[in-house]
Amino acid sequence: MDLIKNSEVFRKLSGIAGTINNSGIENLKKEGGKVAGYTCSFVPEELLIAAGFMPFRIRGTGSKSADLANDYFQAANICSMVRHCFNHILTGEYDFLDAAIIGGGCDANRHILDNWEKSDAKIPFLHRIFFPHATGDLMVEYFRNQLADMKAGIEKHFGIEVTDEKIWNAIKLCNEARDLQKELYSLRKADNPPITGAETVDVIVAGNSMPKEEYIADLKTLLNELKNTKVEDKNYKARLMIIGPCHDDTSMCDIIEGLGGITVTDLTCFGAKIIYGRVKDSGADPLQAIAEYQVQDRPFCPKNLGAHPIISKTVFENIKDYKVDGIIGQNMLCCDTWGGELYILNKELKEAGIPMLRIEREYIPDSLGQIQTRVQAFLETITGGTQ
Amino acid sequence: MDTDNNKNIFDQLNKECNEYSKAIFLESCVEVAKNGEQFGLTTEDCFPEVHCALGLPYYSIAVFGGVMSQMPQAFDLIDKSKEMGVGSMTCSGPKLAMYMVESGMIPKPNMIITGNQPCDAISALGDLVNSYKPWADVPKFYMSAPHDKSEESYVFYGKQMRAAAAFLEDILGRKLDMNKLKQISEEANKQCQLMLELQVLKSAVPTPIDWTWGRSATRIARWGSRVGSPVVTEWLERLVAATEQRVKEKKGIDGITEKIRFMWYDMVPTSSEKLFSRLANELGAVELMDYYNWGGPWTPIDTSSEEAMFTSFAKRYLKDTPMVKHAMGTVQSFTDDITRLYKELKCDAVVLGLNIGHKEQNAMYRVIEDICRERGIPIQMIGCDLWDERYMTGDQIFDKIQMFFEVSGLIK
Repeated sequence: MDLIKNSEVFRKLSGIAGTINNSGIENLKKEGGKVAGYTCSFVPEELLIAAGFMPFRIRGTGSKSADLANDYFQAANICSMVRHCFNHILTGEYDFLDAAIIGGGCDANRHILDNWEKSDAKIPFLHRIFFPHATGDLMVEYFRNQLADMKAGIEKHFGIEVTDEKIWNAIKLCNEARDLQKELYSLRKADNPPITGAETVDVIVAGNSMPKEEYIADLKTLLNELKNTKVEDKNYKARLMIIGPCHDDTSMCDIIEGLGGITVTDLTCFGAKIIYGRVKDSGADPLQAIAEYQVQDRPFCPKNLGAHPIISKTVFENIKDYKVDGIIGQNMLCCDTWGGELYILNKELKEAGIPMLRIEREYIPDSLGQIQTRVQAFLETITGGTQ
Repeated sequence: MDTDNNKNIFDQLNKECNEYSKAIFLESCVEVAKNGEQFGLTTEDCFPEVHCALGLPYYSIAVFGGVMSQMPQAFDLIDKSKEMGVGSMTCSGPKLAMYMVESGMIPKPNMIITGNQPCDAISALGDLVNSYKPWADVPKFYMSAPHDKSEESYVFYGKQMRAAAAFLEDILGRKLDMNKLKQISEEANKQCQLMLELQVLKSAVPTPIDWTWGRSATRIARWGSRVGSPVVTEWLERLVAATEQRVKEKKGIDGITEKIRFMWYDMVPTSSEKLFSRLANELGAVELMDYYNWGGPWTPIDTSSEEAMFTSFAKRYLKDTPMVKHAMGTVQSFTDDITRLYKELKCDAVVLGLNIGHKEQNAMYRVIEDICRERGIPIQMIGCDLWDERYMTGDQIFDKIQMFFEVSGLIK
């Protein structure tokens, strides 16, 4: 897209998504601001913002090796995303963090906390919260209590008070960001979207890596630019959707889009899953509102028992809304839960006549040639080799 | 008690145990289904006392997978499970169970309870079971085990267990008899106490009985349909008495001169019978503890009220059940448990299976190693596939352990 390549605000967001530390963080720190890192999308940014932190979703962007982390996590069978993220922690990429919240989403992720505590990489405040792996009122209550513990831990350590009013304000702020992100996604429903899948990844990833108010302002500018752009007819070979866990780099979309296809939507932990719906922004208890959103409303992590029908429903709705021709189901090589989920989904999509390509990959896109060949063959399957 | 008599007692106990153990196998499930009886399936049995009180045949699909991995056709089925297209690095045991479901080897149950313990692979098995089309109309209940060791977590899980019991009551059309549950729980308490006594007896030098007896006790006292049955209590009493006799006589395992005492801190591999026999016979190395051969201690069930009972069930499951308890908490609680057992059982060394599918252990192996070494515990990480011997044979594991004992100075 010519416009977006020339868009100053896009270049800024793309730059933020392509690195770990950025000028926004540096400026914030100079002014005495604090940054809290977190793993897993169910760790609520709302609570971190209310506590005065800039939330930063921990990722392994730019990592070339997980050698140091492999001393802690077995390289052969632990998710490479976890290892590359932890390698960054060990090499000091995350030294700007004042706090980190480890979401116990999966067996590997959960132990980042143990390894961090025992390593030489020090951090002032390290906390772990657990997400219930089923749904219902009891699970909401449990998660609400987890959030209350997290809040109390932060308050005690940093000597601050996180009032309900601050949390409600943070909820409103995050909802605004989600609404704008959804607006961005809806532009991709067009036959000729003004933004590609790769570009969208950058815009969404930046949202968890910079001050939220600044992000909202930038996103508004970008949306305005996109809406006022006349997009030429691209005649894409196929409109694809990406499903799976972390998808925080553009390599998969770059391949698809380099071969004449376009990624129009996704269901990933760095993408559509984090912009889904809204947190209730008024009521008696803001922690309850966050817990209800995370436990009841959002499409779940497949680690949750009973998650599949909701994941499946969301996928089929997206196929219709975004006129999807095919699905790329991609998961990290060692991910048990997404490995199982994509197997189940694949069967259902096959029955519905929707083509799906399964790709198990490593976090660092190091076998792009092989993936490119498979995506090319997949696109030919969809188009019948005619385009 | 003379030697022959003592041997006869163990032979008789073994025979009875084999008979009782049948209740957990797929063959029993197939038979129950053929007879038109109602039965339940689960990914992991969290409350044996409850389904025993309900008189409900109840089977663990994970156990089906584990048992199948020891059958002659296991390699073929493991290959087929790999071809299904689930996660390629997913543990072979649950993957085998997934294939058993998908290929129709397991009869259609009347109710299903799935949970997320003890690992992500079991969650994935649960997801597959819950979306298996031929079982779409089977009522299902989902349980979420927390991962932190706190009173709040036990209460939370106890409430889920009560709700799961109510789910079973609804389908069966009969109420859980609380007096019966209390009676079974009290009997199960006695059994858990006897298992602990057996473990204490095993700590004698030389250890009086081989590793398979702890596994047998676990199988019938914690799994299947005889939990809380007086028959099992009586079986355990005889086992403890016969073992005590051997301790008094300072008898070690028959035919073995004990030189090294070690703990295999994991589920045992499919090659365990041959592997542990070789280690004992050739090196005098006796295996004292593993996840199947587990003496506790087990939290006593507080039978003072319904709520207390269910909270205790939660504790017994989350805090005491091997592998489940290891998935709870932090590396600190994991290594504290290793240290406790190492001392109590007077071990010389610890071997961690480090199954390729156990993400939990593999995510903290370095810290486990560091802490154990700081505490002076010789520890070795193997890195095998517990369910597929082709990945690493029993003989290869033997060689690794032998080398470890040599470098640790345990083989002079």
